Amino acid sequence: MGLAFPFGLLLAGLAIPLVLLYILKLRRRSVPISSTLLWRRVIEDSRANAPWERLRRHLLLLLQLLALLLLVLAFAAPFRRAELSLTHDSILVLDVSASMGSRLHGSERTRMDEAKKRARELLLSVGGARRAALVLAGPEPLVAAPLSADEPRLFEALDAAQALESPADLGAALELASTLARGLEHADVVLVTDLAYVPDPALAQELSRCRVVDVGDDAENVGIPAAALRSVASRLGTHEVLVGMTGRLAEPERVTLVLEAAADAHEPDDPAWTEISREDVVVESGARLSRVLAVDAQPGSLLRARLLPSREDALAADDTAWLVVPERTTLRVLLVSERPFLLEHALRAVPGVEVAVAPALPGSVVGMDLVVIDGPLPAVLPSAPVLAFGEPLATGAPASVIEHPSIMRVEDRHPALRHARLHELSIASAWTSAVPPGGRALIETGGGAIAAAWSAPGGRALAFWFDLVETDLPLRVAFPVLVADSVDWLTERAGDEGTWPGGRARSIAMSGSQVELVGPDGSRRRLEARDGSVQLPALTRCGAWRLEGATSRSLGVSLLSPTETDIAPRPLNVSPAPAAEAMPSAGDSTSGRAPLWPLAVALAACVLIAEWSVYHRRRE
Amino acid sequence: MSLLPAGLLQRLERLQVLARRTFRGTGAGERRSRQVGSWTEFRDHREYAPGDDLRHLDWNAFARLERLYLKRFHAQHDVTVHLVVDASASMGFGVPAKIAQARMVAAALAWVSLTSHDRARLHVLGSSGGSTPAFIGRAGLRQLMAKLGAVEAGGPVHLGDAVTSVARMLPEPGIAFVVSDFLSEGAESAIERLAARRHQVHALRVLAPQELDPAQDDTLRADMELVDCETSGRLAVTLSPRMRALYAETLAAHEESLRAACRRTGATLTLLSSADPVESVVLRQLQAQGIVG
Repeated sequence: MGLAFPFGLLLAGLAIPLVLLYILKLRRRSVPISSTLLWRRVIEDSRANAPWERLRRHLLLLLQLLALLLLVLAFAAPFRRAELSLTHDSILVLDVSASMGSRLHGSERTRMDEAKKRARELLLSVGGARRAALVLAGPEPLVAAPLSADEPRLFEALDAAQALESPADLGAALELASTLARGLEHADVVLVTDLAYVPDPALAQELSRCRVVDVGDDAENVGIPAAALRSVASRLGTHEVLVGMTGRLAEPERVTLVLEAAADAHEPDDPAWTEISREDVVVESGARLSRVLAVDAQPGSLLRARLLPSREDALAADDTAWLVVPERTTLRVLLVSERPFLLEHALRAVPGVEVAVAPALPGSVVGMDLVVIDGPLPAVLPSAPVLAFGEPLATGAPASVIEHPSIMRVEDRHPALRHARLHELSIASAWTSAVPPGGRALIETGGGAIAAAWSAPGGRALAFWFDLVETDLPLRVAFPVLVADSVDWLTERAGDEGTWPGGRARSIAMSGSQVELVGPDGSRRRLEARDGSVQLPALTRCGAWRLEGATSRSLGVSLLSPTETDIAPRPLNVSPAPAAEAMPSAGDSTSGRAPLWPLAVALAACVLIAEWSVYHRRRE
Repeated sequence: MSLLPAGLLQRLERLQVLARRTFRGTGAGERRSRQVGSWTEFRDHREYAPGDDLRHLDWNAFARLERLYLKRFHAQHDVTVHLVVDASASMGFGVPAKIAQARMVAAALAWVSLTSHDRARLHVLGSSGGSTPAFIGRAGLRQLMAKLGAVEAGGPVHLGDAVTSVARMLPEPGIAFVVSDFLSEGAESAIERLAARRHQVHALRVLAPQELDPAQDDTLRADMELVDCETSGRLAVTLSPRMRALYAETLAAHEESLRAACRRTGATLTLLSSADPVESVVLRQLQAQGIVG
């Protein structure tokens, strides 16, 4: 028995107003009668014969409190360890996200060790005639062992599984498992996970179709969920390193943040590290803490920000952020505007940007890294990434004008908008239009979307469907921030500035046709470069990576995942299929979480019905 | 006389309050007295003594025995019927009100008493309380009925103390009717005190139908606070089927306690509902118990 969301018990405090309301409400109706002589004797007799009679007077309150208690309990997501065993063909999904590498509380064993042990027990319970498959849930799902009754092969794949240093896409892995199970009769999908995941409706749907074996625990962890490096425009060669810190802790912990620089990024095997700064900070559970550290570093320098916990720390992968000072490159931006004053100043404030201004869009934009259009978007976008402020595409659905739109939602998780606060933007008029296929609305109003991002043939496109002078955006601090972030996102510069979250595949500009990817452990992998760029796979180990080809460059790969740093198991708000019914114990078994909240809710409903019944019986 | 139906009055004239023993009367009446009197019912003889009334000499006995004997006769005296009516506030409850039934029953007993040459006194316990002098004959009927008609329920009454006070005022024993709901502390002592003064006590307990069965009372529902109309005492009660059953048991136990007091003192206990017709009460219940006949 356990609680997945123990803080939910705090709702038991609702009992206080409930009792107060009961006391206020319990003003008994005064009924004058001839004499209370007999009734006094009745009360005395009833108390003497039934000591609980006093409680009976407050039966309604007791029932209400019981119902509240059960609902609070349900909210706290109680579960019991249910004995599971596999009796059908089974698809075993093993979570190999970074949090699975966390050490169990007070133990040297990791969640992955525990998961393998449980998975092994499950596989043993399959029996000779049953088949099983093993799917590893990493950034991309991987079938480690196809469906077979070959136990040695399954165990070999299981033993080889390791926790990665990147987040996992559990939804994709479960979808793959469901696909594998679809062709089978009576196949079970079993997910072995620590439940350190981001709950979302789609994933909840997938989880509802599978059984969950939970290996999470309440170990403590601090880590770096965010890091970024940017150059200081006013001082050449000076950069700022932004380091975010958070933790899942029983009590605040003092940690030491150390920023170090490698003497030579091109010698990643065992570089000599120079300490640049050291600072003690106190991290509180669940709170985000950030520090900006200034560093003078040459392009290509390798930096690392390390957290040195003062107590036992479950996960080491998130304690270090690796950053590489980008090579100094200049972005060439074409600003198409008849009144370029506002945008030109904002663009020139972005480090490494060279701005050319034209009153109209030229026929060719060759050599331009970005085209910024201040006016109506042309029917055919230029062959470069585009940032636009003005009327939507003429070829799309007809745009409509909306006056004084109220902003309902801002997609502030989008990289271009994450630092700009646009919720209170005042807009006199704007256009709204259908979001281009494959795109996403970034700002939505009551009348529709007024900003969208999508992929165009020439690269990324980001359009704000309003005239800048029709808004107070240029007067806000958010304007230069928005422009800078938009430039970074559109030109895909962000990854080149040292922040490279693990587990994310992407392409990177690289000359030459053959490129070798060298991992932090020295392992090498040959990649092909096409059209001046190379498609990198998801990098699942943190550290300094190198791309070697005609030229070479370093990549700092860090975990940078708040979800993985917060290693606490999340509530499993789905009801897995009943374990005991479909999976009778076969001797070798393991335990999973069988949620008890439906039972608690059902009991609360029964108690409320009883309360209703008592109430009406008393009224009769 | 409007307290009683006209048809009932004629039937009441044929009745008499029955005495279970003889009483020392204060005036001539139709009841045999323990006193030796000069009336018509022969009692015994005794030898003549000088000074005796020569009119009572039994000349027939002298002729046979040649000795003078004096004939003695039972005295014929009246009896005082005391009507003790509880007019406390609790008697004002019920539909119909208990005090209305008490008035009618007392009026019927007064009618029976006065038309059979007995005396009747009314003692009202309550805020409209007080004792009347003894009324005699039909002439006193009108006054007594007027007094009874003016009786209203009100005020607190401790039945034991009030009845004790009344008992102290009564010099001669008589027949005492106590008409009350007996929902008061010391109800048993009221019967005992009167009996101790050698009164023949008849306790007439009047309860409203709602008191006999709380289920008939629409105002008694679920959680409530009962307020005693006499003491203003409050009592929180959550009415349930079990509480109703306990009430019935308690009511029966209280009745048994009164009945035990009556047994000890030779009194009678008659249970009346305020909804019972007065004809039924007098002509059936009281007659059946040998109280009137």
